[in-house]
Amino acid sequence: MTRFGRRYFLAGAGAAAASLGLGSIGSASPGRARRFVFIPTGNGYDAWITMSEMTKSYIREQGGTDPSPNRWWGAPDSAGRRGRYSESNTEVYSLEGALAGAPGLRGFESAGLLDRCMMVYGLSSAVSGAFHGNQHGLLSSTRTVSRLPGGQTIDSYLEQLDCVRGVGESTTPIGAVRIGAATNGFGSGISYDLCASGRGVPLPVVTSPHAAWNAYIRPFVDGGGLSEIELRSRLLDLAARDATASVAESRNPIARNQLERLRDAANTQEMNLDLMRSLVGERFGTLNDRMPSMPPASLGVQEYKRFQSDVALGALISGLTNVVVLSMGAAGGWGFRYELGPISSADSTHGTFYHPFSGLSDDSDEADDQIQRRAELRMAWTLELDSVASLAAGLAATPEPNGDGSMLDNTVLVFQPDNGTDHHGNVDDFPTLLVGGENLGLRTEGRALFYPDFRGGHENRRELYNLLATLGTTLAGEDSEEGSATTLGASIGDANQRLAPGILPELLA
Amino acid sequence: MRLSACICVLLGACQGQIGGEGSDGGPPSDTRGRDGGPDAPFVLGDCTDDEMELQRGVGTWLQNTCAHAGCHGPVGERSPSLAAADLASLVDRGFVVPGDPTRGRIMARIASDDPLLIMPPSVPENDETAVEMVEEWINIGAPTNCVAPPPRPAPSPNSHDQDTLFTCTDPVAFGPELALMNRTEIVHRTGSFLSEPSMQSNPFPSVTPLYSTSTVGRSFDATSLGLYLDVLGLSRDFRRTDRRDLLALRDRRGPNSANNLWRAGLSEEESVGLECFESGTPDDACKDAFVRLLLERYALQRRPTEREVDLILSFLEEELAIEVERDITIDHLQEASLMLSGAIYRTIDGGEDGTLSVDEWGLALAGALSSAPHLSRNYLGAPRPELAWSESFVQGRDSGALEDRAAAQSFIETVLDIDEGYVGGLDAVSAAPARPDIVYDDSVVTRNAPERRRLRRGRYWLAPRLAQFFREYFDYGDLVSRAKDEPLATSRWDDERVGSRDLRQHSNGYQRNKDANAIREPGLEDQMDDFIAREVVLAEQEGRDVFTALLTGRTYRVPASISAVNGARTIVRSVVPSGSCDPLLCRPDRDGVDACCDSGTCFFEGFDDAGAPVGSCIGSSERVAYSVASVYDTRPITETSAVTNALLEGSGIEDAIRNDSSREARWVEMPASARSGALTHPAWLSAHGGNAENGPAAIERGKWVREHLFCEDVAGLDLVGALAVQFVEGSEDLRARERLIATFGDLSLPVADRTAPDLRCANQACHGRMNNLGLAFEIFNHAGFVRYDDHGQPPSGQTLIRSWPGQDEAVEVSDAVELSQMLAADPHARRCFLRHVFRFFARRAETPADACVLAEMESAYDAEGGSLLAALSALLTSDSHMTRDITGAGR
Repeated sequence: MTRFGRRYFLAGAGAAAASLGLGSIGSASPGRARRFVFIPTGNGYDAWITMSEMTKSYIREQGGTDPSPNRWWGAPDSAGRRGRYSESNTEVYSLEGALAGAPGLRGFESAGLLDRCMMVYGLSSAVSGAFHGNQHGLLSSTRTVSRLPGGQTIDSYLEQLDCVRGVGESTTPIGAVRIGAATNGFGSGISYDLCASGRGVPLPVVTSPHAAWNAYIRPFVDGGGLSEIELRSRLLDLAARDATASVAESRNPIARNQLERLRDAANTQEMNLDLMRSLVGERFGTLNDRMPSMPPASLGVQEYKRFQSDVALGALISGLTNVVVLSMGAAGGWGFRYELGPISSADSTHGTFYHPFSGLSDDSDEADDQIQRRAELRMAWTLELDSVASLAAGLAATPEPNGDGSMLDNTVLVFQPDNGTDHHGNVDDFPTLLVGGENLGLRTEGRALFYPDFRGGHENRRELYNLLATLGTTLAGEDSEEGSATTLGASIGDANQRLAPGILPELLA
Repeated sequence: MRLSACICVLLGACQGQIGGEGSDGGPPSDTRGRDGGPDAPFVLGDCTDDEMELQRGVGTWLQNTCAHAGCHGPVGERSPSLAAADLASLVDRGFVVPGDPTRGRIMARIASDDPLLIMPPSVPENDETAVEMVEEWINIGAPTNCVAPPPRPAPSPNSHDQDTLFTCTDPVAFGPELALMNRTEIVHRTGSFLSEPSMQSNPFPSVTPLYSTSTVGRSFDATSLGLYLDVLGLSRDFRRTDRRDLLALRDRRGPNSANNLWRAGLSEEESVGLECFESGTPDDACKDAFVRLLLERYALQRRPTEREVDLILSFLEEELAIEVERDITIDHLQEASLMLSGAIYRTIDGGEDGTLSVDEWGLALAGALSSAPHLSRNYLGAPRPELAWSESFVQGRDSGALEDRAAAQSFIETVLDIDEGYVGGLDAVSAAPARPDIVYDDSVVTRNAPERRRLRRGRYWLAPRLAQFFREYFDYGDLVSRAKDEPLATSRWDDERVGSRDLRQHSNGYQRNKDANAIREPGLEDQMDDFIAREVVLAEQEGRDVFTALLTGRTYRVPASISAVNGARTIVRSVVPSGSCDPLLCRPDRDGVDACCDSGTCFFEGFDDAGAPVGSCIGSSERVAYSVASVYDTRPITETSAVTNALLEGSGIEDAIRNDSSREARWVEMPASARSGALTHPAWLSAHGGNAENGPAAIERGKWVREHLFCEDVAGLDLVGALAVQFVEGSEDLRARERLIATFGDLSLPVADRTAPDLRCANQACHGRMNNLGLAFEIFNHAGFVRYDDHGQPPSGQTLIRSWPGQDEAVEVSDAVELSQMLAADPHARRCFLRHVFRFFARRAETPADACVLAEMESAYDAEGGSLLAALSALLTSDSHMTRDITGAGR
């Protein structure tokens, strides 16, 4: 009888598991801590800020678009030309030690972390990006339809893996912390535009700094947080008792199922609360100097991002979670703001000021205010990356509890634009910054990795999906069986839209 | 290990695990067999592991790839159905011949690269490994008994035959139902308002595949429950922060606001009765009274059961034992009441005998009109007009007068009466505000200037739930997020005679028009709301057909006043700019006129030819004001000078502009040649128009018409990548309709006559049902402007529409105006509209078992000359709704 490759089975089963929204499907043995931090930046960003002189020289040598300071790299110029890394390169190329001097990476450089970073250029997508309202695509490699996600996002996938969340007493109280600044309005509370547990089922991202602090920091630093845990416990107990009684009273099987799920939800939350209570009991007061204080009544935009970044760091070093989504954005749309100068403060939302910057470029006669606007936006993204650098530095300064290096060694940070590099969503380039994670197999070393762009043929072109597969398999420790690494990530992304299966081995040591 | 875990995923033993952490489960799956009856018992065969894996892989791939709505889904119209990985039917019906991949049609379709054959039609070719997998499965004999198929997913409501849905043969009662609260409902239930930050993004659903109200059968999972607690805690935190006198957070309202509105709505007698609870040590009677009122007027909106009262009393005792402060205890008590399943779900089950109690049909009636709680009665000191019947309702309920079925029916019909009821009407300027959508849910307006905003809106209003239905049905509620880079393209404003500055001005005016918050004027969405409210109210009052009125009415509400001074049609408005003046913007314009910067009245207009921003002051440039409404202006350009200047010629116009605050002057009858009803309104066109004038707007618009007026599915656009990316490259002389045809073929031709073999989706499976419907709208650009010149050719909406339900021949249509009028007169389209009414207000999809209710709705609609309210009344008073099936079978 013909033996059939596991790829057949696993691809289908993985997709089915995702669509059914099943619970933990991970089984790899726990041990090494594996953490993931996803930092989507909304509405595209100008990858020019990630380019060092070495990178620019390489692009020029390859016959690519001149990385002029006078153009937004990914936006089309007046002739419709977007930035290209080469004229016709079809091979993957790694430019070693390429990041020194990149203006946007100054925070990493000053923290001595540049060699812990890697830029990946040329990753495209067949289903993500492309105009507004498709943010779920970045982390799921599926298409958002009618504001509903097309599939499970990678954070949801990872939080269900035993080797990420842990098992038994080592289970983190929270599978994934999702906070942001901000996708649906400044500090408005919760956003549903980015994460999903499955097709049509969005997951919330907490964009209120108060809510984030209350939920993820306060229990470790403030006695009021402990009281809040106890109150929650009483409320959940009440909900569970009421739902249990309601189940008994219900005569309709569908309604009964709904009530049972509510009861189970209350019980699950109570169990998570027990884990939380235990962790807080162990860590209370010991991390005060590393945790952010309660936010003031209002925060400036950059303070807001830095604060949420500090909350993310606190959630990781306290052991609350091993998966974080930290949404950012600095360029209009969905309430992203940048507030740096007179122009940007007048144009704090998606509107008439933003488009001219994205649409006009490469024009030496452009007006001063336009140059200023470009500079402001680039500074906004740089400050955003400064926050990411601060987060990475915090992890680097924290020893792994089991002595396995620093927490950064076991944490992969992924900074990506949700909409490609262009404001209105070209889908052929999602410049990605990867940081840390060397213990998990990532080879950073301050290099820039170039994948052939979409013109380079399908042979070596790679997509967001392939990056997600790499994160969800090899880096998550899920490739223990030969060949499985190319397929285990199959539950992420639309299988029928892939150009090439598998992971990105070029990212690995 | 993972392998066994994955096998378990698809085996029957695991079938009950639909949903999970972070999943809300969605509506229940259809567990019936292919013929609607129970599936025959599945007998597991004696298979090898490889056979099992292969069957599982093939089934999953085919289901994921093919079983979409509109394609090979459950009860889909195309054969075969691949829902639930139904491989057995593939074999039974000869699509697969076991052992021989060369026979049977499936391999020929999935292995093909012929665009006329390939399945799915959205891809140029299938993944090679998937095709090999199917081939191998056939080679080994196509086993179908190695793995039990997963539960059959619920069928798309559009998959049902429409005639059957309206043919009553055997009345069937609705099942008992639990409807998960939706996001808006929980905001209002907790005493908050929609723009309150801590509550507005609560974890209850706001979007579902059907309607925001379609929550029957949906569950609340652990993640959402955790977030719900976060939200409640956040609200409490805001309140406590208030106590620290942080001014920035003072205006919060919500579950824990200092004067929670349910208490403000109590009668004087009730309030006095609760004083015992405010401080000191309340006795048992006091606690009991407080808890009962809390549950009825706040959390449950019905009389609580004794069990619920006991549970909350028990919680109260615990809180009192550790009390720090009475207000905090009340906070916690309110939160506890919101944790009850009766607060999280709206329960309508008919009690012991299946007959809805007064409380239950009251909940359903209130839910048809409003997302606000009806028993709280007072909201900001004024009764919500759509719920102002609640006091008489409570009196009737408590006295027993409404126990009788006839009395209930009479009460509901009265509430839904356009003249005597609470469903909408004409808002009198001087009277108490009848615009709950304006007055109650906008914190800024509520606090500052509700009257100013009311004046800019139409006086016609609908109960918020009715208005919300239309927003969701026509799907224009999200158009602010629809990018329009060049909204003027191909319109009359896209003309060199207009001048670059004016072009920018009108572009900016349009963008502001699109975003109500940017102009403090009713934006396009509000303008559409007002248009719909007027058409519905007048049609109901005058006994005209509502559906026809919606698709043919031409009197739009514009964002500016129109004065008929000296015979000139001049559209203007009185913009009140926000924010401080920015010196960078307000500088002399290119004409040398000093665009002053006087006391914060600077208004950004656009950019000059050098790209510099230009601003001006309101009062010195009505051109700015005019530009906001220019999307409605269809007059041809005859002047070579700046059009906007010409418009302002004439003595006295400017004064009239400034002084005209007439609300009525904002109603404008549009030219009959340009507009006809909702589908030609700029709001709808913009919401379904994409980002570029030469993009795939026709596909989006055609898809909407096919699904919402013909009630037929078209496979989701999620099957393809970015739609615009697929288009053949655009050029200066290529119209959108030509790009569409070049990409997907001329779909007005019979399939056999189509000649281009390399076309994507050329087999007409999907685009044949959308594109040509949408071509009628090509007289408009993507932003809703009437086209003036379409890439050097006259704009054309000419199209030939195949597959028009009920029509044997292809239907020729000249443009969207004619199409709208044809649809308005089409009985199939009108029935489809009624199906959507059912979906929204019954909170679930219709099934053939609802045929008698749908028939009753249609009869009532017809009997009243086309009355939506009569149809709604028929639904809410029908036997099927008022008497529930308590056999336990459910639906």
